[in-house]
Amino acid sequence: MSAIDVIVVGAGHAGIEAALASARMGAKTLLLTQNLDHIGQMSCNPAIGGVGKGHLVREIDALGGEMGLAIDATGIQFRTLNTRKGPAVRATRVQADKTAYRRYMKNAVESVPGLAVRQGSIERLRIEAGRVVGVETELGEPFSAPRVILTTGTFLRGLIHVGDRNRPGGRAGDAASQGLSPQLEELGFHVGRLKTGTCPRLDARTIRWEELEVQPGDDPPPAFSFRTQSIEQEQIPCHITWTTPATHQIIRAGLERSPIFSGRIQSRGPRYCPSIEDKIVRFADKPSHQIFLEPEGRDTVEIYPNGLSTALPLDVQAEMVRTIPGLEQAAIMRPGYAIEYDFVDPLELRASLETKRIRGLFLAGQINGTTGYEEAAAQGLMAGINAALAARAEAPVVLGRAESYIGVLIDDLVTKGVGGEPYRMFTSRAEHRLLLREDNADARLSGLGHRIGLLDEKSAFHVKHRLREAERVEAGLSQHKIPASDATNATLAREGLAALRHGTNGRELLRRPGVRWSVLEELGFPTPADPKVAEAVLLDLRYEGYVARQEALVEQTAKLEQTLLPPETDFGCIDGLSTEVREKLSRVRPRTLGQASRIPGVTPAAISLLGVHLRRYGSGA
Amino acid sequence: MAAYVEDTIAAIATPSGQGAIAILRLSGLDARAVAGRILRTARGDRELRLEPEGSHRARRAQLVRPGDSAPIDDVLLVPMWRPRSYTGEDTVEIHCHGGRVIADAALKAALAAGARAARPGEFTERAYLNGRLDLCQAEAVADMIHAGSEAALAAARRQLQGDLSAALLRERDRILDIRALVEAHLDFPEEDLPAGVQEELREATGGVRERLTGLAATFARGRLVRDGVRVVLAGKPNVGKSSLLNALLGRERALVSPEAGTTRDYLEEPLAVGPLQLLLCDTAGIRATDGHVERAGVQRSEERIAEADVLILVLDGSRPIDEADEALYAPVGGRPLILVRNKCDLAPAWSPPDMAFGRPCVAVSATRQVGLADLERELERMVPDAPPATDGILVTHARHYEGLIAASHHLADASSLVEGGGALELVAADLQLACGSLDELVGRSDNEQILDRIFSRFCVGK
Repeated sequence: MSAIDVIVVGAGHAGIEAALASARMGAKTLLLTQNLDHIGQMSCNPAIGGVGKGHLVREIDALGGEMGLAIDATGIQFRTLNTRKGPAVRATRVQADKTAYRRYMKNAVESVPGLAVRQGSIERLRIEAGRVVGVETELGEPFSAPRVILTTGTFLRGLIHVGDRNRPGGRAGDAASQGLSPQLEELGFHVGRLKTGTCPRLDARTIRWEELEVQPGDDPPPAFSFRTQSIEQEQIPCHITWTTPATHQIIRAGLERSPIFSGRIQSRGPRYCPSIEDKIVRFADKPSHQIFLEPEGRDTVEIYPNGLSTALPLDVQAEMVRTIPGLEQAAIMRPGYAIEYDFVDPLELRASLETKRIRGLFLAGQINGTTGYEEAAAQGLMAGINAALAARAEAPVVLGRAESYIGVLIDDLVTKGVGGEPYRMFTSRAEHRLLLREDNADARLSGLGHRIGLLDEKSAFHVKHRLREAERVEAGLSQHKIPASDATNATLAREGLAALRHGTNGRELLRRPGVRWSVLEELGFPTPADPKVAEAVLLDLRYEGYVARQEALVEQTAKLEQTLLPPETDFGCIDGLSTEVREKLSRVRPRTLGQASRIPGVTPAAISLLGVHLRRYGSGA
Repeated sequence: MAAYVEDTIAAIATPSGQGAIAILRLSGLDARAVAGRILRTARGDRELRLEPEGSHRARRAQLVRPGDSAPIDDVLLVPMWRPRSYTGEDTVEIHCHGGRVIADAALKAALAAGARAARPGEFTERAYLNGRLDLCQAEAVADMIHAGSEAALAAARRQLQGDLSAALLRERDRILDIRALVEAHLDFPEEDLPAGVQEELREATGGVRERLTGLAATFARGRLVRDGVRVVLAGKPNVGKSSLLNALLGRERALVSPEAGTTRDYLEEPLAVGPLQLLLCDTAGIRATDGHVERAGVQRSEERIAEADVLILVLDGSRPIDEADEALYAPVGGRPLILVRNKCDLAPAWSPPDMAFGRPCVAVSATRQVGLADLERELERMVPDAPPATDGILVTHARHYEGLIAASHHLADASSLVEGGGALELVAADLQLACGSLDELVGRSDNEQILDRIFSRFCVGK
């Protein structure tokens, strides 16, 4: 192989997207992983998507990433969440066949020209004069490249806990990486420690399914990728059960042997994904907790009891499981465990995901303190894109908070850090949520995906065509006069809608709550043939007022977002600022005034001071 | 509005002219050094060293020009080191003897020693920039200085103490709680969250809205308390408006004559009535006229009348009410109005004499000083009381009023969405806007708090 442009270390959800994006954009790429059989492994729950996370997957897909296509091809249950709470929080969630997903991803990385895949455990970065120049395996094999993307997941000094036992490991069954994080610390990076955990896996043959509530998939199944034509595979349902007072009693009795409560684990776990022992301690009043039984695949009996994440000793885990209805005889196939691992404070990163300390070194995924396959994939994709752009000597792509969840995710990371617990996406993190719908992700981002050479021409054209079609339909609706005649009102009455008092047009009528396309059809305006166009037009009209208001807010802050702070700005010598604010600014080194304004503790007054400083001493803008 | 705070500013903090003392105020990073260059010990035998531990302790000294030992004045100085000063910076106040010459010399000495002359309001601006005051409090500082009445001073004081800010933050906090409830249902759809969201949402949103509109309602009084009450004396020519003005002021401010149309231009004078400040405005009598100057005067009168908070329509009690009086009364509508039957020392020309246009009128004789106390009582009554349950907080700024109204509109939108079964994400959008309106008032914002609230209230996460 000729000279390598980009090395990607790790082939999890971040590493895959990074390597694929980089290679597809024409950079010579090498993907290094500890174990070629674990490419695309889902270490925790067997699902992709959910509220906020599903939005990320749609955006990854719109830019030309792989995750959406992979889960569409290998999913076993497809659902849309939040159907009644509004289109912006509507989200797709798909149960995965873990083995099929892995196989799909292995095949994907093996079939892209310009992408080499090698097994090798990386224990050292090669650094020269503040630049990364390559990596070295534990066997001392060197690889050279001017750009390296680290996607090490939970592998950095990973320590697995079950009860009062612990042992090093990157994930159950895989070795931890011991060398990288000490080297990162030596280089001056702020390295911290986080905790997460997973559930025991149960044997489906020992569960009394007939007693449990069934949760089927949607019909028709919703696809993640806008490139997927339809989902053909048969769906498998999940089941729901509940913990009982007996479960809680056993957990309480076992608490002193839980590493989370005995003080063995110091680092904080995610509050939104608490262990069952956490839930019982923190919400002692709650008599019962919901457990979802999720199949791990079509051709395995392993079941993932979502909601039972635990690090209790094995005997307590077994006893606890058997107090749950339907699980009275359940056998554990793999124990649940907690894992502690090193992460690098993401304040070390630029918005391109390149580190500020070492040129050419990019970090993506859990190493940045995030959790979740989707969050990892989104960062991997952006790191891959920006490494490939750097190889072409082009400026990085930095997505805005008003245009994507990916923008929100990365801006939060590089501006606020992760604040002690793994960072997960929520829609409430996006202040412009109503603009960032799952259904308009392709409209928002496919143009960019195509421009940078990642998304293929045909797919991008389809989206463009659809947008034009929607515009055409909207214009047609405005032209379509609807008289307040008896015939019109009879039609409306049949649908249970209020009568018209004055004549109107199709556009105005469709905006009214409860008016569907079928009503317009009866009144002489054909429903668009493409259901996506019909949906987009309907949502656009219904949300016009709200969207306009949010866009006005975006406009208001646009000036701050566009005011660049020169990279050489010495925040330490701006006298009006308090010591605390100076330290924070020096740490984050915000790119724009807008970013500075989002740093916790930086007051509006400090922002006006910075503004004046810029006016006086010039800005990069 | 912000300055780049790198330098030390100086200003005379007392009014110009003669007085017992004049205070030179220095604030900034180098305030200590600047003060050191212009101060010597009380005996004048050596330069004065200002120690870090001497904060908030007054001491005597001699004021000099930099590099000169000849005293300008014997002074008292009060150092206040950061952050325990008004501006949050090192501050030194130097109390000199009063008088323009000494004050000028003191300021010049400070400027020669490296300070820069402060712009108007710059000390308060720095207090705001340094986080010593929030936006509402900074506004109150100016209000205190400009207070024209006891009531205005009391309102400004409470605002400076942070009472208004605290009330706003309390309501903002409640909105954050409501948002946490809504966001939990949006972001965790598969969790078994508490039922009855609709009910809780309706109640909580309604409660906050009620309190915010209650605060906003105090603006009816607050505006008059802060800005003063514009009281306009209107009436036909020669009914005695100017005489009444003079009587209320207790001095001959306006020229009076028996000739109709003596007052050509309007005239405005402050007057304290009880705890309030009035701006009493005498206008030219309104009548059809050919005189160019008088016509311009009449037009100005009409403008004043349109802007009045309280209108005093003066009637001549010795002459029957005619069409000209009616023409002035007719457009008043529901606006605050006091009818005055002037010249009550003469025989009344209508009956019953205490009624006009079917409403009571106050009997006054401007020339004989009769009935003035009754009129003042009426004037006080015209200014609405603050509604109860706002704990005596008065909203006195239009900016605050508008922010409160905006926030309560957004809450009303949220409520009607909840009622009508609208999408929860739109309820969330309206709550976010309501929060934003309050954030703007106090000048802060932080979204992270929502997630903290969700996790402390609900057991979410599978």
